[in-house]
Amino acid sequence: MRDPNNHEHHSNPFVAWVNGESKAKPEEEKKLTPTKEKRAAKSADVSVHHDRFHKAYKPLAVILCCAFIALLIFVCVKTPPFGVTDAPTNNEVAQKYIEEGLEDTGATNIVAGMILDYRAFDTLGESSVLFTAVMAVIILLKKDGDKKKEMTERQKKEEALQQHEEELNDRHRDVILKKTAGIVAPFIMMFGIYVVLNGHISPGGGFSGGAIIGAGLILISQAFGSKRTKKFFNFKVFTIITSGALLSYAALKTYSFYTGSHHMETGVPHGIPGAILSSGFILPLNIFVGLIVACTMFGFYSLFSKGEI
Amino acid sequence: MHEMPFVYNFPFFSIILTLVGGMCLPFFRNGKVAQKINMGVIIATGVMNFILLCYLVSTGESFTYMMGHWPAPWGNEIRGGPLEALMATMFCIVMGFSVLGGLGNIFEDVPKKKQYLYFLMMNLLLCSMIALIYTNDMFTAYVFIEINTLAACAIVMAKEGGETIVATIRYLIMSLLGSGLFLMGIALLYNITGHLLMESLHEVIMEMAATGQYVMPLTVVFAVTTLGLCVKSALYPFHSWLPNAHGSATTSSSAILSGLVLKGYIILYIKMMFRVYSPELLAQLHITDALLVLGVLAMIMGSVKALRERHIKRMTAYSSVAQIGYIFMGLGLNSEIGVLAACFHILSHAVTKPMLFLAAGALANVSHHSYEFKDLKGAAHKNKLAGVAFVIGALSMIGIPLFAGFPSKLYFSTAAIQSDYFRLPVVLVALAVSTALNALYYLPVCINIWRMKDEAHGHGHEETGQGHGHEDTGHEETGVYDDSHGHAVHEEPVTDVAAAAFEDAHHEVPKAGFSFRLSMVAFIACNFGLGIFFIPIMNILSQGIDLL
Amino acid sequence: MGFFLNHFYEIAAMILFGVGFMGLLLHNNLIKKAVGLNIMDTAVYLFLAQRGFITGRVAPIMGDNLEASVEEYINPIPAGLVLTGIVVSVSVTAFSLALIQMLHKKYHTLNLDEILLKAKQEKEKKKALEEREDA
Repeated sequence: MRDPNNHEHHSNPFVAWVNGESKAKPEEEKKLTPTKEKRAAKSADVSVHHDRFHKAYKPLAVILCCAFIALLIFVCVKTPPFGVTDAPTNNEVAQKYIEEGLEDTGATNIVAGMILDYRAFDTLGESSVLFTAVMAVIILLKKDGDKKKEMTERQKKEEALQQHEEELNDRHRDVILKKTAGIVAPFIMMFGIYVVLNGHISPGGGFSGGAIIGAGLILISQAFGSKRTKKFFNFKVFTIITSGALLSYAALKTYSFYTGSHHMETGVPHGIPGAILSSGFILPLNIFVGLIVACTMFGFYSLFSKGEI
Repeated sequence: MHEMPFVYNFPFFSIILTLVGGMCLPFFRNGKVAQKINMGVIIATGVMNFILLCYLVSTGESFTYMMGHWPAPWGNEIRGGPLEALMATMFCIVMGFSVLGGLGNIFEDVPKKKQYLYFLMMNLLLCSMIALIYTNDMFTAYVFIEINTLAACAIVMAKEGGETIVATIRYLIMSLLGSGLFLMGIALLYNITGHLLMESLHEVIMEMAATGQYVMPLTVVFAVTTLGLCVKSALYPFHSWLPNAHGSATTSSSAILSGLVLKGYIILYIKMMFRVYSPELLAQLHITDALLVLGVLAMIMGSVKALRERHIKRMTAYSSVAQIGYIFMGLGLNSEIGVLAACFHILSHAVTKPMLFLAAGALANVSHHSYEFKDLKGAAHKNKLAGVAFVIGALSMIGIPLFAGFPSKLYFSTAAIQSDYFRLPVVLVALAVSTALNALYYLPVCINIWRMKDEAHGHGHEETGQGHGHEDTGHEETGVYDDSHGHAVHEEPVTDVAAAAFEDAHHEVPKAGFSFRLSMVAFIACNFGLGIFFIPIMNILSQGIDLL
Repeated sequence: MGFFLNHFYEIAAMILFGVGFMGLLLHNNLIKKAVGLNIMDTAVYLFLAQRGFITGRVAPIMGDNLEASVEEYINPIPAGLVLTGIVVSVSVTAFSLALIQMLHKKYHTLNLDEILLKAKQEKEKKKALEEREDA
């Protein structure tokens, strides 16, 4: 509905401004580098401004960054040198972790004991970051079944092309890849599981082992096609494993935080140091973390390549 | 220490509850169920924090809570006091009503199969903010900052379309720059102190300041962490991502991002100021002066940029830039009353800005989803409550007495008067100019939305608005709230013949649901509450700051 | 000069941090921005890892000798922090790459400036279309 008095309002710039009819100032333009045609179309004055701004921006930023680096290096030179024993970081905190870590947590891998027992709240947050990221990627990339109708021609064509390529790939999958993957994949999985289960007594743990298992899953999916992996790993399994493992993790940690803050014993034995079944909650926590990481790694891969799990 | 009051568990419970509330949602995969769980979690968290607040205010103490079996320098800890409890309670209230107020838009903007993920992100966002408020450990703060970043980006891009994704990537890049700087700051700090827990850090830093050791690294550490948090909370020269992200997201997301997410970082910074560094040391190293300058710049430039906007949401977003400037200016004044004013401004902005965003969203809903001023003309007649709320929000932002914005400006100027002869004129002039500019960009919008669409048909339009208003009350139970993807918004039958004559096909007035009204009324009540009963809240805040 | 040799790893970490920072700020290509971000994070991990090292000591995993003393092992805390940091940076990188993939699908370019321009043009087109419909 047009305002009959419109032209009158326009004649008074202030009234037009109050009414919201005046145009917004194009203040974002100076940040854009338009293509050549676009630039030519603009008035000479604006384009001069553009060029000047852009010519000045890069060297300025480089100088700023170099100054920043110089400052940081200067700071570093002032701090204690590399590899010395009397640096401020080697204080009573590190000392307790090393000397009493085994007694407190039961893990011979002191780093595992530190991240899953002493500083477990950080690690819970860290697993949640992974969970948040995978859920955000699902919001972005997962295809909806019922959105096909709304797709444009171009998107439909792309989709069809992708499907065709996939079929071709499935049919002519490389024999060498298939055979090698068939031999290697079980060992990769075994190794991943080994790393997860031995996280508290040797180098490794849930994060590294989970990443290895995830890589094995990706290899299987690459070699034998996504249809094979889908038979045992679909979206439902993915959510159940990820959320289930994370919830169990949170439950275990809630129990230990609660008992800890109330100065109660957890009642979980630490076992014999160096045995697989030792160090209380650290083994199950490593298993849960391993499951989460393996699922998210594979989830990222399959969402990126196909838009679904 | 064995006799710990049960309420001391509540911060821990609220963090875990919100986290678990987010983690269990993939099992349901249903937007409506997810929304109910989300609301339940928010209410439970809010109630817990409120009880904690009452307890702490009555006993006047603060506490640390071990997360695990290991005491101070070895394990993780969280820390609660009146300031933290008040902020957490307020965050829950604002979050709950922001979600309620934009519910119709959420179900409309977010694809149906992904609605549960939106509420999942809401839960994780609340979790990370509560953890940021209560944390007592720098590295925990870093981890939860990252959760906060990811969840905040996710709620921006949940609304489909290229514009939101472009806005998200800009937001993400700036945010990651900020958290990268913050991480570098923590690494350097750990390098020279060997601690990550706030109390231990404070001890070591005070010792260093006394002996004069590592002064230069310490300055850089302060500067880098401050810079990181400034980037993340969109202080003026680093604000470029904010208007896009807040302007293009769905209404609830804009409200929460503006009202709460930016504040989470500022509260963390306030905690760091008092518990890791010390205000005197910061003043000695001129960090507070830098904050004051940037804050004053932000107050003026944010308002000037808002003045040039013709898009109601973007204008409100630029206004947030200015308000963040007020808060940092308060911190930069380096006096107790300045920090007090900054804390109060966090609260008053948190209850005002979401209301403005929600009202703007509702006004746009009744003018074919356009946010341009010229299309919003007369929109307030079609949704009176939103119009009233917008005007109240605008008056509060300008700083009219009785509204929430007034006490904070009062305290800001008191703080300025108590500072030295150099800061006094700068701050007072900046306050005056910024207030005038606030009025200059808010009042035209207020006039515009209440103006008749055109003089000749004005009367008819008013009737139309009222006719629909009646219909709204009739349908409120079956409104947007019940319909999972918001079709009800478009299906409204036009029974009023006289109205139908005036309305063409896409001129239907979508209803404002019951939840929207509830949230508007609540926000207005909060606004008046803060504006009139500001003395007790100031007392709680100053008690909290003393205990920090 | 001795200074620089003593602080070799720290200086390398700081230069890498600056390089990553510059990449994040200056490149228009989004993938390069993501790479810059990763360099920046990795520099912090290098910095933390070198901080944990102590000459002549071994990684803090006990073998047969279960009687630990501080003199044997390096500082375990930076290792834990790096582990946490790596997972955080993996998640953030995955999310930013997903966003970049979406943008590429939509605008068929990775250049941020071009994307901004195209998004703006699209918006204007949409607005013009709406105005024509109104008229």
